[in-house]
Amino acid sequence: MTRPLLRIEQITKTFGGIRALSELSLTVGENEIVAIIGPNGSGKTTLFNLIVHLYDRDSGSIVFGEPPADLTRLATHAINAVGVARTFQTLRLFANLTVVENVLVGMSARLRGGIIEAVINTRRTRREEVEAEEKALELLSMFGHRLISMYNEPAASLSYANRRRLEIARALASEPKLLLLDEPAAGMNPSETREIMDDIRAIHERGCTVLLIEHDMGLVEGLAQRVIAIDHGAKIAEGSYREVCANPQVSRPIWGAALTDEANSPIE
Amino acid sequence: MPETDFISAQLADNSAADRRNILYDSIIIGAVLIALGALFVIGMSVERLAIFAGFVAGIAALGVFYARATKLRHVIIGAFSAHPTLAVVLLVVLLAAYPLALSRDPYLIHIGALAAIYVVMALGLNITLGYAGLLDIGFAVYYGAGAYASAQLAIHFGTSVWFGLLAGGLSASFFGYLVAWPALRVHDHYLGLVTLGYGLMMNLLARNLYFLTNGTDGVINIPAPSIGSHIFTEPLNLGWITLPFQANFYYVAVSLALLTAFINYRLGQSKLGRAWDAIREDEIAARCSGVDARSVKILAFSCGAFFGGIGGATYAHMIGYISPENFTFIESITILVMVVLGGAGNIIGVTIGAVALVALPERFREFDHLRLLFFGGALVLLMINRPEGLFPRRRRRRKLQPDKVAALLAQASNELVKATEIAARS
Repeated sequence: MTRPLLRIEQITKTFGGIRALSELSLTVGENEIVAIIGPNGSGKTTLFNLIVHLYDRDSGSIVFGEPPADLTRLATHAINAVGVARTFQTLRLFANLTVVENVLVGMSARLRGGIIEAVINTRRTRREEVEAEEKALELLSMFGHRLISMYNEPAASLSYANRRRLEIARALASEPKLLLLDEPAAGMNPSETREIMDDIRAIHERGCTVLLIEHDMGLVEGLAQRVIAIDHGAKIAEGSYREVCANPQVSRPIWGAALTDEANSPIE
Repeated sequence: MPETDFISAQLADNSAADRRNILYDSIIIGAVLIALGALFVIGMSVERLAIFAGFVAGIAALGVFYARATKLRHVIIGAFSAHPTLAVVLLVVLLAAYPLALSRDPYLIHIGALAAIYVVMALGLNITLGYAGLLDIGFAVYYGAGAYASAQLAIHFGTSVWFGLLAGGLSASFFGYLVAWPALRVHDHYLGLVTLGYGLMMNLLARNLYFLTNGTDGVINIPAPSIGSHIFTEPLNLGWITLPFQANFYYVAVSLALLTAFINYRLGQSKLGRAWDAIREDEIAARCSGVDARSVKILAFSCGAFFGGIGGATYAHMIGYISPENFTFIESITILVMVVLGGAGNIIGVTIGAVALVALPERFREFDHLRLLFFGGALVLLMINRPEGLFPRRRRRRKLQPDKVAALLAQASNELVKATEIAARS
């Protein structure tokens, strides 16, 4: 493993009497692609929500980057600013904003200028807007013509797969060092899944570390350099895809059975 | 190919905008603005109530016709969006001419000034509710804060009324900032309840903090503003025409309304407006996208309150008397209805909503005790038929770089062609 980028140690989170995560530790190295697998309700999405501090942890630590930032003490938007961006399992686009505006919101942490400048609309503000839009268009063009041809249409008018793509584009807009993808292939057909795998590879090649949750084992096998299996909020196996699959606790039938189960994660 | 269609559609769009005839468009814009103004004046001058009721029904019918007549609507909207500057200039000219045309009718000028004051306040709430989506049912608090602050400053410290307007706005901002703190912890209708409680509480304080507000007696003899030696309670002599003193306030209030509308527009177009849009649409996604939800919400409350305060201060100096009766729950509801009825997030809609809700109760004064009944009924009908208000918010579209989009699309389709060729060969 390369130099660690994200270190999670002994993290515990309970909801009422239910232990969603218990003393889970994991590390993501710089420029890795790590996949987290596990049945529904095993605490995967809870883990993401703890990383971006949508939930407060009960105990444990989450440290990111160099110099180390304690994510449990940063507000969600500040975590985005230090370089962690995410997508959502249940899509959370700004449905009534246009496609390009969605991406522009993703740049919030990078854009400057306050209320006075907004009213005066200084030359600097205008230039920044033009540059931001240019960058947003380039991000959209990452997905070929699919998003860019719809750039001025509301996000709600996109097809399901394109909405997933737009979520990724929005997350990338903040130039993250670590991208958290929550089931990027959920609801996609096989060819769309292959396409999204190529896109994730391209993102990775740009130097972005990827931590993803996925039920599609083809995607996990094709992309992940390391796989972490969790169940009942605890890590049960870690290693290469083959190693994890060979682990007696993690047999394919279990994941296969889990796939037919509709997700119900505690958030959203 | 969908993308080439898209490019040609874009180009056609652009050339259509170039080809527009400015004379033709200015006639349309002028006609629409004059028609709106005429409707207002006629409506306010009709003597018999029965005729006025028929008139209102006529306007409603006209509205329905406008909503149905797609082609007409396209012509009008096209003219306005092709020449926004021209539209604003024509609007300013017409607004400036209003007191000149009605110099014998001080009442109508007064109503114009009052309407402009409510436009300022409704546009303030438009920031909080329309842009940031924060339900504020205590807006009269800011109205009151601005009015009392400005009035008491002028009475006890003899400060200039112009300074008072700004001070009123700022003190209202402070009250917006105050409510933002508890308001940050709750969402949606719970937020409505918090602000509602805030409004009731502050009204009660205004009734009882005698040393600040004179209690229910109210503050009297609030000085009128002046410019140089010209005091606003004297007729406005322009040399060739003398306007009743109400015109002084009219011009100030209308200028403030135009300025507020401009600031609303700029804020809505800015990065901050985008952040407000984002938290309104999905706060969690916004926070994860780097939007500091906490500070943009505080800003939304303070900004909205600022204009509420300016409106309140202008009102205080115009009427010369304020009491807690001016800033009741009903007042909050009235301003809220102006925004919701007109169309939260739409500057033109909110403006029309505010003007209509000043004019209508004024005409139906005999039925003032039934005001809430009408408001309630209108709201119920509206929420069923047009939940986004008469003029729904318009989506912000970008027009900055169509050529850039075209280039990226061409590149994408080239790659697509290459990919298909490769696939065909293998």
